[in-house]
Amino acid sequence: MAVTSKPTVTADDVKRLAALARVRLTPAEASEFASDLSAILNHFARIQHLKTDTVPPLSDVMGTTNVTRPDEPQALCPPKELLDRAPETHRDHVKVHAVFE
Amino acid sequence: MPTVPTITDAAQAVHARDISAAALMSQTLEQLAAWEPHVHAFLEQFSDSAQKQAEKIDKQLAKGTDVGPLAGVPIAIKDNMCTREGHTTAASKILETFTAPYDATVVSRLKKAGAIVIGKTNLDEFAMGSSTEQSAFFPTNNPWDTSRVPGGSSGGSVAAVACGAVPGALGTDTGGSIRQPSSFCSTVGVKPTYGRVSRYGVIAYGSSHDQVGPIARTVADAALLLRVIAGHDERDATSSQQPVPDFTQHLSGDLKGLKVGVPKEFFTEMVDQDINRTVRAAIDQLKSLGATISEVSLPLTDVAIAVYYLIVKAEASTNYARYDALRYAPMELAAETLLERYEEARGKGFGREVKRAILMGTYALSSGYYDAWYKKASQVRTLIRREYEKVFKDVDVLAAPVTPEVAFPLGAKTQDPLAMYMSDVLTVPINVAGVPAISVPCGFVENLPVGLQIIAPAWGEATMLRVAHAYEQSQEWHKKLPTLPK
Repeated sequence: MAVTSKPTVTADDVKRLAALARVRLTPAEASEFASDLSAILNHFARIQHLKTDTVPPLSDVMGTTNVTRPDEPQALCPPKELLDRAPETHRDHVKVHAVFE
Repeated sequence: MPTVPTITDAAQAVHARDISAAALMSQTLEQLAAWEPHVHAFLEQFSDSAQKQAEKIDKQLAKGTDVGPLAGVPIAIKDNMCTREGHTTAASKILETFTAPYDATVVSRLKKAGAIVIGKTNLDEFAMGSSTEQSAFFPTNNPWDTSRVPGGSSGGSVAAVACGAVPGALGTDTGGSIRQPSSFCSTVGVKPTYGRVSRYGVIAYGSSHDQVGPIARTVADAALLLRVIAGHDERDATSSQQPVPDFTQHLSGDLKGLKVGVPKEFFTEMVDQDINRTVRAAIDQLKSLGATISEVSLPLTDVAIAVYYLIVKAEASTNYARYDALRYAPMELAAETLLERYEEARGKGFGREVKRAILMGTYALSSGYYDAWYKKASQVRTLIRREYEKVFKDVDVLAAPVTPEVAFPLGAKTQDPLAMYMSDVLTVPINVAGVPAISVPCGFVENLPVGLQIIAPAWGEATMLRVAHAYEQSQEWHKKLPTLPK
């Protein structure tokens, strides 16, 4: 999908993005963010004019390649310390509301 | 009240037993007690545990134990880095009750070197912002003029050092968040080469740009802090194996033979005239110290901000997916289903700028838009990186302003997000390219501080620090401190 030089983000776009990101917005927020994003993206659209056909995307800032370590267990943090921080636990598990209904 | 000494002087004095760590800590806490009501740099102070730690260090020194190069020195930590002490909130409501089960690598390295964590400093929420006004809790004020911002996002760390109370602090710099407040508050602030310092235990904002860096009153102090925190960490896969020189050595005063490039795109009419003049005078000073000055060009400078925000907000939207009030830092929620609880927690727990960032990032990464925005920005990022590599074939360092303006009044930019973003236009290209840069005090405009930015090629911190130190020692800016308001 080609981007026009004047991207407009609507309140409906924002509501869809908010749903994807699991963030609840008020209707007022949705329209305010729509105009913010439109103004900001309008300004950023200038990058569309640069020629990048043969340019690779930069994925590794300092040219590091895949970093690995031996698959050996390490005692980093006692599980109890982590479970103590959860609001609800059940037998060494974090208890949450139903994922599937 | 005598000024709290620099890190270098304090560590030396404590080792030599000229001053006890306990007395140094009392002095620091006394200064903080005087300044904090005016500045609000800290979210949490660890006065009791810090004092006890100081006493413990004195006992160890009495026994002849080597406590480390930072023995007894109080250091403030920006609250986006995990510490076992107190809370780690990233100045966000969604982490208001979070206590970290571990220290960030940079924090444990400081502690191993004998430093004492005195507290957690205020920041723009999740390190997003340029004024510290986006903190979910309260803004921090500039010690030089408390009606103005200290800059951001490391405003708390910088303010704590700028007022002379705390000898040093750690901040993070993703698009200028150490350098810009340092310029606004007359401190030295360093953004290391990407990969130089471990990000383990640092709450990620833009993972391919974030770096932890030192904030101090002198370049020698910043060099000492950097030496302690830098170096490969096997817990951070993006940290480099590049050897760490002793940055405190080779800080000589002479710049003979050094080639300084002045990028013309950093001196357009967007930069306040008085700042332009002040920074140019500092560059002339580099010349009188023996450097050769030449004009260079970085044509992609004006698109760097677009590249930066598109990539960083996309990375942020991914990084913030983990905050759900589910496994830690619980919130009072009314919703009954899991999905609604996620939406409610994140709707309530995130501030405006964070929500805006998540939306923009999600947009740039979403199907149909990914190629035109995120991928395009990543390709332009390669071009910017190549531009910096090319310019450093001709010069050793670049010299430029840090910000287009001096510290602005509180509230001046909070209504215009684009205006706020534009304050970073001279700092973000450096993070995009991954190279190191420093802000060092170079004067005042209407009693408000101005910083000189020295930019070096990747892994070139030693040269960068040498230039900044030479400049600093030829002037008196680092000796000037703000007056305590009545």
